[in-house]
Amino acid sequence: MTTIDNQLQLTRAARLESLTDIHAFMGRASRQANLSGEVAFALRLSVDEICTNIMTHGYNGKEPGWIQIIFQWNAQQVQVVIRDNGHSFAFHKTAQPQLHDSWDKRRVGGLGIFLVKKMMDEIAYHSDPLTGNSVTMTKWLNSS
Amino acid sequence: MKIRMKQYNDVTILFAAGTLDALTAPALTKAFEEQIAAGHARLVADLKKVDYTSSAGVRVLIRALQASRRHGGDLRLSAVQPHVNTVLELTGVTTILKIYPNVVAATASYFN
Repeated sequence: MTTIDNQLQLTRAARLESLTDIHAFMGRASRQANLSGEVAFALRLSVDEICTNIMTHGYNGKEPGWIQIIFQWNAQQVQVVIRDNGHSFAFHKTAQPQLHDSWDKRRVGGLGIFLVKKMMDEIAYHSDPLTGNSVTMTKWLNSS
Repeated sequence: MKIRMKQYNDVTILFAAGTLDALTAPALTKAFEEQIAAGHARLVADLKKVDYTSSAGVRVLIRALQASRRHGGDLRLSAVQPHVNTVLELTGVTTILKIYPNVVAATASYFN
């Protein structure tokens, strides 16, 4: 994002109980950015999926840490950065869900990241042993 | 998530309300499991008051569908809201179970 006109932040414990606050934050941020219902939903779902992934897997074997959500926007795009200090994650190597299997063969893995990739226009993942992990998701406002 | 249940002959209707995410999904899972364990495998989940689901909700529905059919029944949905329907379509769920516009139609489908 070349220029950030506006930014909001939220930091919470990486526990499922934080999802309620995260949903509320995304609602407030989307209203403040005057986003359409569709864009707001896409962002809310994507943030939910990434945060849930961190909460469920990011701190396995460790004391649960934190999740920081940075919501920033200008006239052309909204960008959400989600940071944590848990285990790194092979974001682009997640299994592709088999969506056309019959009902008795359907498996339930990989749906979260799949939905994020469907909802967002750009996704970048970065992991550093010193600064932690970050997922940067961009939604272009003109294309929605 | 709030869940209310109603019995119509041998069909159990679960009325769900609220947000379906990883925090709230276990409650719906438990409700489905209890009904199937009690021998009630013909299920309707009315989602009129469910305004949102993540993949957590999709997993609950797939597992409940599988369990109900393996016990000789089914899971049918009613009154799915637009954003929930988007998630169900993207994840292919709409191709493996039946969705009805309202709970009356979903319940009646078991007797047609």
